[in-house]
Amino acid sequence: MDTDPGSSSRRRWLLHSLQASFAATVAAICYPVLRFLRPRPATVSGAMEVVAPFRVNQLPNAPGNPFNFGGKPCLVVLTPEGEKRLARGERLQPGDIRAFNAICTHMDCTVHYRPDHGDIFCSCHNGVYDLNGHNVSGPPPRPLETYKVTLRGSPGQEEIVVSRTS
Amino acid sequence: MKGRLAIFAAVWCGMAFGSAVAGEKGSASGPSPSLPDDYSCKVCHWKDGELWNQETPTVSESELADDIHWQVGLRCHDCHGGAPSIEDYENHRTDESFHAIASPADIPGFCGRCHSKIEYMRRYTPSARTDQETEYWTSGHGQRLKESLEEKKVDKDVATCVDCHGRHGILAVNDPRSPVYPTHVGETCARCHSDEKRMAGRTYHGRPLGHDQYEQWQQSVHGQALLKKGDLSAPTCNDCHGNHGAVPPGIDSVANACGSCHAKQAELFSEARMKHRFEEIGLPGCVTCHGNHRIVQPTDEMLGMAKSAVCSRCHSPENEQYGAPLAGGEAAAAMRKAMEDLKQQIAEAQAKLAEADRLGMEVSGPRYDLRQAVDALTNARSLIHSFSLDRVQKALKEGLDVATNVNKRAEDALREHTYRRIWLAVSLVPILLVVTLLILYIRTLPIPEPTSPHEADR
Repeated sequence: MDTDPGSSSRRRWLLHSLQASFAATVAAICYPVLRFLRPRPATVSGAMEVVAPFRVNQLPNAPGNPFNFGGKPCLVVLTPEGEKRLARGERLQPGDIRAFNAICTHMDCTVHYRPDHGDIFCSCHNGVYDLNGHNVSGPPPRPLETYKVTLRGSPGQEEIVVSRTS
Repeated sequence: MKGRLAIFAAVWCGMAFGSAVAGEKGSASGPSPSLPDDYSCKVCHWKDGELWNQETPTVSESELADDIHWQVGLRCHDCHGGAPSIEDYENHRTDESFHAIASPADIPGFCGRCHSKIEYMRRYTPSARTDQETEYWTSGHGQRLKESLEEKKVDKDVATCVDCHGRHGILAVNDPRSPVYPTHVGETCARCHSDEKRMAGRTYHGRPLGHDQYEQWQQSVHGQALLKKGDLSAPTCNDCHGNHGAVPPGIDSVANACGSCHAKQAELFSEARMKHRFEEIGLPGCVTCHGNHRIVQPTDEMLGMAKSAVCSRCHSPENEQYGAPLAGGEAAAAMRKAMEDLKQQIAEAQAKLAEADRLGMEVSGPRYDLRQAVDALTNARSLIHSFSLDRVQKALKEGLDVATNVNKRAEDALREHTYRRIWLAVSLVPILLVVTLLILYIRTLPIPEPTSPHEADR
């Protein structure tokens, strides 16, 4: 049995230090595990399908339209027919809401919907597409890429699900 | 000219004989079979015909097989007139129904007899144009031909319908083999316009026509797009000059020619004060900065007051022209500076995002937002044509704000990565400390006394 008081005191100090270090080690292991279990919200979805950050009743001038879909802007368009149906409180028909890759096929600018003209417009070089995404005027050489649109939820308040598989 | 003389000779010698006015008898019902045995033209103009000799110009069915007229059922007499049957044959010189071509000046009317008649053309193509002949007489070619007629000395070098479309074997304009198909228009025009001898001394409104347009166009962004990339929407000669009414665009209309494709730039330019100033001093719109036939891909270096910049050609103190104010040069330099600032911010942001991406950081959000800055840069490049410093700077400022924000977020991502590495290192310290302290602690523990001689021995 060790009766040296110096040795006993050193052992006690070592034991406390060991406990503190052990606690720090546990924290160092647990913190990244907890962060892994609760990650930050992703800034962009890499999925093939995404829900638009607005609902049908916010169209045609919904905030955040076009929105980020897999790193590319996605433009959702409510056709004039769809707008009338929505105003009458009727259920929207397939094709009333359309979604496009909003990158102009001319110089990669972002295109926008012009409800007053009923077309999709690129302000960089005045390129015009119709509501089927076909290039109809100006320099764009090709139509816009189209996405599949599915609506879900109660009529007039539907969520817009955009999918790459059109 | 041999070819053209040959056709004149062919007509004079009597290529076809026949019946009624062309157009009245043509069939729209599709190709008809070979010519009947008693077809009058065959007697002289079919090789080995009964009256054929070595000096008689000939044409064969195989030559005509692809001809658009032949394919819709038209035959020699439908264009040339005269009697189709040998029984009704009359000498060309006395047959009033025969359509003689005495000089190139007769050709537009010869073709126009059908092509200017809407009722007739509608039978073949409901949307057919019938203004080609009218347009032709307004063209540089038509005007020169008219002039030469008035001078009583027909200019046989002036192009008419057959020089571009061919004579027999005329292909549809949408046939890729046609000399007027977009990919061939340049070389068709160049047959005359690149011929130095033929173009020598020729002028338009007092200015020499030159003979290097085709060569220059081939090197242009338009020529490259059409010839190398096969982009049929790229302009060739007729897109700027017109086809049947081909003339060089005037100083006041050149911007409209370019504007038929470059609509936004033309719109901006039409509203600019610069346009009116250009008109006052007799400078053509787009051409003054971009050139005409050899239009190269525009670059940012064209803007500003550096030597490579087009603005410096007139606005610099060393080379002040047309009374161009130096303030214009300052504005150009300011636009260029703002543009370079934005480009630098975008480049920095892109580099930082790429680095953050490489280090495994999630930066797709800022990368998406950076698109707005690139859009603003593209938009500003168009807005230069407004010659408005405020408009260009406003567009660039919007882009600069986005790029600066993205830059900051990219820096944050890189900082976050550094932070994670530091804390990884820090987290190893307590682990090492635990191990060290554990060893030291174990050493301080008393060594237990041996309990038996056997254990002591061990």
